[in-house]
Amino acid sequence: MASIPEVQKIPKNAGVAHALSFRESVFQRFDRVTFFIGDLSLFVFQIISWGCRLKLRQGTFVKAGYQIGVLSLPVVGLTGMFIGMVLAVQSFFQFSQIGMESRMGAVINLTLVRELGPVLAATMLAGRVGSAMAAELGTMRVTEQIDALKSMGVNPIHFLVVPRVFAALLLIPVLTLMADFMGIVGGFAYSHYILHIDAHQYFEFSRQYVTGFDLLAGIVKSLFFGGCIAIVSCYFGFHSDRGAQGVGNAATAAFVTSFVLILVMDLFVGISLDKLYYYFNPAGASLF
Amino acid sequence: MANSPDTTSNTNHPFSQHLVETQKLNMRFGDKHILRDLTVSIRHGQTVAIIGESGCGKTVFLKTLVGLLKPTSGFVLFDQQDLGILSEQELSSLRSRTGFVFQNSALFDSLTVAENIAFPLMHTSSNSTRTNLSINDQSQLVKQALREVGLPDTTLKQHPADLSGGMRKRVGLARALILQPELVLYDEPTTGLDPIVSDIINELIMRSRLKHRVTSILVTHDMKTARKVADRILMLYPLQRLNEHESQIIFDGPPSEIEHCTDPRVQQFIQGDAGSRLRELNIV
Repeated sequence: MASIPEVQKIPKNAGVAHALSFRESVFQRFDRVTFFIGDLSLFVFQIISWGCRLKLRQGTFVKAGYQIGVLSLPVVGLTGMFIGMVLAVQSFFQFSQIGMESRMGAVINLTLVRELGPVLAATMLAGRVGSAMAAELGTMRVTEQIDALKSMGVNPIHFLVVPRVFAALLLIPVLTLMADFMGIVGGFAYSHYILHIDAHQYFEFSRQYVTGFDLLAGIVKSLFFGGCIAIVSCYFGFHSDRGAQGVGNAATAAFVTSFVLILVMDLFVGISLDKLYYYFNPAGASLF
Repeated sequence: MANSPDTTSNTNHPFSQHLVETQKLNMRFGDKHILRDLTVSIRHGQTVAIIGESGCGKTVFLKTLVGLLKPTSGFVLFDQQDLGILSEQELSSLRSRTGFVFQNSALFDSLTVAENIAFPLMHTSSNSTRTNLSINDQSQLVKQALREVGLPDTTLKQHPADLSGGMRKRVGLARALILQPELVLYDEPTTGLDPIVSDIINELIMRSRLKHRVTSILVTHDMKTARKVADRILMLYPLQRLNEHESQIIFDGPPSEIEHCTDPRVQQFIQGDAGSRLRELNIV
């Protein structure tokens, strides 16, 4: 005969204890988030403070620029081209249903210049360079190289972070333009050579709908993204836990946080730029 | 012997004042209390070895002396300047008067040996005349520093990853000494090295002291190093094992006295005897 399982006794005050521990964990989490925001703000303040001194460490700047700009250019161009082609593939069916496939150029190019170009370049930068920055600085933290800098009277934020932030700010617009350009080329090539859309109409509608402001809006967004990626990645690298796992976690946290912030900023900067556009131009005509 | 007055200095410094002092130094990491009320004075030219079990706070103490870690409470005075009230710039300037040899050397991976040694010359905002030299003169200094630690010129173009542990330690020593600092801090300089290389490092520490008349503070587990190099030994004990009223410094005196110290905790450490610890750890 199978034995009857003993009924687990629940202590009388278990519910109260559970509620207390839940409250404690909420407070602890709130405490951690508050600390993170405060610490990150101080980090940004130090970057701005050291950045304003304009004594850029050229060696670190050139190396970071090479990593961010030169080495990222092919992958950003390639993904931009394929995104342009994918946009052509996806929009063709919808537009052909209503006989407006000749206007595809306007939609593809506007989407690329305002949204996908900057977001794509920033995402590639966060994945390729941001996590590498976090891993490199994290390793420097773990192996006491950052302490070594401090011990020699060199400020590690000035030496390691400021050049990376400057390089990201300077080069992300270039990467964005590259993603835009390659996306436009890819979208046009697929539309014209595969879907047989007239080239003149394709670009004529693009010219009508895509303005200089759209291009500028994409560049402005990219500056926010570039600064965010460099700052967040360096922050996580600087605060990496010990060991290989700590460095790995820092690299992952850098990418995930950067990516989420890119999307959040994309929304708010996009809304702000639109407000600005209609403030200066209530009729909604082209500013440029 | 705890916190006994420092009578062991054998320097003839004209001012014979303390170069480094700590007063009521406390350090906590969260709930963990690492250092408690440490009051230590170190004179110009003295070589002090800080010994003690792993986790007793030796490295933490060393790092607070140059402001790499900020104490929870208490004071650190370097050349009579309170580190706690110095601006970042003043602290940087003061740190350029010190050299730090890290446990794992902390050489910059991305730089060559030559660039690592030349780093303080090129990037430190020091008042030293050595920072204002031409590139050629700096290059000569780097070569000289490398020869002083017994490494050939062929290592100049190598990266730290290509060097053995002992070679990395020596490059770290050359980097720490290139600006002729007044104070050199060594964090476990001989840990992980074979006995011969360890003795080479010991000799280099002694020679740098004789040649440049630097004040040295070294953290070590190695009693041979402590006996050979130091003229004062300071032993810290983990706070978890102490009562509230007990001093964390359980020995402070010259190496010759440590053998005769009657404190069983000191004897246990210098003899490397696990003793009752095995039972505490349930190792039968």
